[in-house]
Amino acid sequence: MSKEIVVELKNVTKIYPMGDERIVALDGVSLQFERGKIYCLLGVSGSGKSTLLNLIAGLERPTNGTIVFKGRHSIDKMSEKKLATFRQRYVGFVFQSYNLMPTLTALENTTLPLIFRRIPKRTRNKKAMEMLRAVGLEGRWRHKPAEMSGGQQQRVSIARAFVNEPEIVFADEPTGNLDTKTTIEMMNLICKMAQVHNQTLILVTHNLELSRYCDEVIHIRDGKIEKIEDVSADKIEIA
Amino acid sequence: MRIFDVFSMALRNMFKRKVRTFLTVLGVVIGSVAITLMMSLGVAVNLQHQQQIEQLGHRANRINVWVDTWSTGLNDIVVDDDMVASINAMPGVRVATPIFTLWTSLTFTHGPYMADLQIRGILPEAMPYMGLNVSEGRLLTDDDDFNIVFGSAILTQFRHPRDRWNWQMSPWGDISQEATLDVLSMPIQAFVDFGMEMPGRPYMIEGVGILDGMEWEAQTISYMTLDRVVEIQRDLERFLLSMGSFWGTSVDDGFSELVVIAENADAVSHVAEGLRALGLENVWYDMEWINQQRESTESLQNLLSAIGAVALFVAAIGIANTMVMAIYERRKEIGVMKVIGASIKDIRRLFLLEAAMIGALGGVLGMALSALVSYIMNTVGMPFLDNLIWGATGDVSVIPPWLYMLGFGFSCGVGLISGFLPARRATKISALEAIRTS
Repeated sequence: MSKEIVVELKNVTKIYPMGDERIVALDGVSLQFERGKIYCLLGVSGSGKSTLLNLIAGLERPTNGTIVFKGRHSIDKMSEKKLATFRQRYVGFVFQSYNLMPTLTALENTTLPLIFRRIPKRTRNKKAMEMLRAVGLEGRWRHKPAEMSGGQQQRVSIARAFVNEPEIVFADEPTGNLDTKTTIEMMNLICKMAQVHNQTLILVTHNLELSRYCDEVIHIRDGKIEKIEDVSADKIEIA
Repeated sequence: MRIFDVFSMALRNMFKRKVRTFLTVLGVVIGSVAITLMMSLGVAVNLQHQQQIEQLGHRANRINVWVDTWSTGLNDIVVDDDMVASINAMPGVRVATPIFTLWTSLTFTHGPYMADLQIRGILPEAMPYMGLNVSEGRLLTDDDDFNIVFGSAILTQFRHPRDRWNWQMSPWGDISQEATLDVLSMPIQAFVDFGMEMPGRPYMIEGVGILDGMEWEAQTISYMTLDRVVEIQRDLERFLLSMGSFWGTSVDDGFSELVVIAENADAVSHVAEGLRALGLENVWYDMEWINQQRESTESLQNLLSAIGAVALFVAAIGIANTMVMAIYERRKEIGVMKVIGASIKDIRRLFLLEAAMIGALGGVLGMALSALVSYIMNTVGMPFLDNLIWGATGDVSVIPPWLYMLGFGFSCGVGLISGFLPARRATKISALEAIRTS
């Protein structure tokens, strides 16, 4: 299978002005992310891993350098309107604290990305039910976040991230609030879903355990890439 | 986002905080009720004025002018034909006519019957505008010579000479014999009745019409063209002069009474101002007191409306506050929505619609409450209006359909406007809020 680059970072620098000081969060990072691979951004808190994720997702703009999506679009140069469309079409997000809308049911939370894409109700509900079935929450579609456990909420969040069939899925400490057993379940679920549709998964974590689910581990330290490990040989096989 | 989705999500957000939404809506309800009711009082007052004007009928357009022709002074105004012509040319004037009442009554004889009639000279074109209509025949025209339009009581004014001294005691007495009179069929001889026989001609006067109606001007007064009455007056003055018993002012000293008809009730006060500017001092019109009343109630209305506006303004602040709080509360949600693909337009519409719906809900409830309070005021609040307008009848508070729509529209508008800045703030919240762990 030929190698297909989904996102490429070219010499990306991000500097935050903090009063008189300048904090260099990312310092000349160049990286490539391939389609269908699972990546792990590993680093301690403050290493710049979250900044890197924010830049790729278009939540922040780099101070220097450029980020190219599928060889054509520069994410750092998109208008807010274009970015919204970009996220609707190509990006999925799994958060540490789930971030479901408290007023919406599991089904509605799952359909939210499709609502923003102006997909008619019948189509989007059908699609969302499929996703809820895939994450094992078929029977709870009517429930609101407050009526579900943390693991269940994260499942809804995963269903929501994948519902619009994105090219890249970002997971920012997705298991940070979960116990070990649920963590394993979630990781299996996320990785399996990404594999099924040949999607790129970028996992941000400081938990070395999670790197066992990945193809490549990118170690970040003080805003620089320390090393990139190919760990696909040790990768846990997902049923 | 499709508009229906925006609507349904905004609705849900609105009812997430029930108490807060309720209190905010309550603010709008109070504001919209205040402004609607205050305006409804004004509408009721205006309606009263309209009714009063309608009751006035033709008199609403009418101005009476009296001129002092007796005393002499440097600044005396002489109302002659030229001045009448210039008044007729004034803007807003439909027609102006002198009213010239013959010094004495004319005695009409018809077969064995006689009648002493009070005669007024008038410009014929003014007659229809003074509420003078005929029940028989026609009104005067400019071409009429010694023609007369009789008052409606004419048949009771003809008496047999043997009854002559009784008629003052029973003015509307037995008319059985008069019913046989036909005053329009042929010329009637008329004499100037001045207590002594005036030589010369009896005037041959032909009746052309009989007035209709019970107003005093249409009942016992008969009308001839101004020119002919002035002619008879001159004959009379000449006669008195020859007898050496002429006193007072002549018809040549000008007319002492004018009736000016304005084009409409609104133009009356303006025309009256114009007449006063000509130096005419005794200018009276029925609309004047109605206008004065309106002016005095208008300032009260303005005050009440201002109170209503303040209430609505406070409601607007309430909505803005609620929206700012809601946005502060939902910073993270807004961030998440942005991350998963909401556009700036979606976010703005979401909050703008929520604010507008608070306004709309307040408006609907406010209008329902206004209708109720208005009903209560009309059933138990009459004494209140009596203080506003003397002799007023009818409703204290009137809410026509346009006022309901205006009140509702105000509420929605207040919601939209007060939601505008908070919604703008919401769009500026960074998507990074979603990542921030609380």
